[in-house]
Amino acid sequence: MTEKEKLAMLEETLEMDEGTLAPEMKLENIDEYNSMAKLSLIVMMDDEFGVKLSSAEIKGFKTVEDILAKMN
Amino acid sequence: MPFFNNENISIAAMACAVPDNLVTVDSFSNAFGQEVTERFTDGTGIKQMYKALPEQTAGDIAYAAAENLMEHYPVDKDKIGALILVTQSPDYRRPATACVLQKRLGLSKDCAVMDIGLGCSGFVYGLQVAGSLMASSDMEYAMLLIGETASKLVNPQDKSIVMMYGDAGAAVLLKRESGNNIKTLLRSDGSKYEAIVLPAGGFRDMNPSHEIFMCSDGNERSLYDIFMDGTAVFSFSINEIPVAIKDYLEVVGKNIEEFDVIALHQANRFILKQITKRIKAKTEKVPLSLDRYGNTGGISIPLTLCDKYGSTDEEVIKVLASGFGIGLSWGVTSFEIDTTNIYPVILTSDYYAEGKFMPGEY
Repeated sequence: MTEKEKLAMLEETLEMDEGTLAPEMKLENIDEYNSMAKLSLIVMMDDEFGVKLSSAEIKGFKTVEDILAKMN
Repeated sequence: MPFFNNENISIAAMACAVPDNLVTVDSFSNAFGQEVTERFTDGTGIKQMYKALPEQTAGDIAYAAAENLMEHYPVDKDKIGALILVTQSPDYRRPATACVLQKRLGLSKDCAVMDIGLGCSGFVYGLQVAGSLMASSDMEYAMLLIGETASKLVNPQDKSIVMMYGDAGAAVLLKRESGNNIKTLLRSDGSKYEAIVLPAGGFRDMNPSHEIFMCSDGNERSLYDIFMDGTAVFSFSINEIPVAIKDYLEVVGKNIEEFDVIALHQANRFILKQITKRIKAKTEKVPLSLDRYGNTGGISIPLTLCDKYGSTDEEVIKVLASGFGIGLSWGVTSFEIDTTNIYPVILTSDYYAEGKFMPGEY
């Protein structure tokens, strides 16, 4: 999966417009990255990549890139 | 595996009560802003809940449920051989609140009475304990009560849970009935005990400062307020519950389509949706009550059934139920029940005035 595809998937999960996310963006500056979005992220990572995110891993995410790195 | 089979036992009747004090999520818009309250309802599905009156305890609400049950289903009180109250909001530090309820309900001394300190898994655990007591004795009936007033333990500024917890009480009467079995699976993961915790007031830290501080999730609390790690609880719920339900179905040799209703603990709508999808249940078989009652902990399974079937008569339904939460603790059970014996949810503003101790008067 290309980085562009991963970004598109993340945008869909966070209910953001296509093309709005970039890897270097800080999560704390993204309004849509709220507590409900984190739950959607947990589901997406599990359903699409079989990755079970822990609470600590989620707290450790600082940038979009940190999330992309887990999407394997 | 802690899998149990209680033979010749059934659920005779079920009743629920909520405090006569409706609180809408919308009423928090002044404090938190409309954007926050609307987003909360969108995400959780919760629109309103009932909160205990200042004088009302979990024991009072469970008592109202029990009285309501016995009005509909007259039972010889001398034949109730066990009374169990599942609560984490006891009337006193000691004795067990179930002992107070034994007196209030007028049950005989020939009765095994105890509290169980669990939350959202409480219906399933309580049912199993009551069933076990019956299975290893000759008692004819056992009364399982569940009561909770978690709303009293939440910081009013805590946007994550102040709009989530509703208070309620439930009464479930078990009886001996040939040929009817209740099979239950119980699990627990104490390594995650910190996921939902109220640190102060127990014996680890009896009387610390009431100072308010900022928690890792951006909400202000004191050590006396409930803290919930929402993402940890969510991951647990959507991973462990589908696995437990699948394990349960395998042991009992049934598939999910054989049940008429899947009564899941009403945590929040998003969790219910994910579990429903993962266990491949039909959405219409998974009733919701949390939109009107909030998250009522261990009461939420009987409350959902009373809400859906309280006014329905003469139909036997096959119920698969799963409760999960604080502990972390979870369980799966199934039973058949005649909807004639599931009663409508009642409102109560009653409380046990004589249960209040006054200095110098005892």
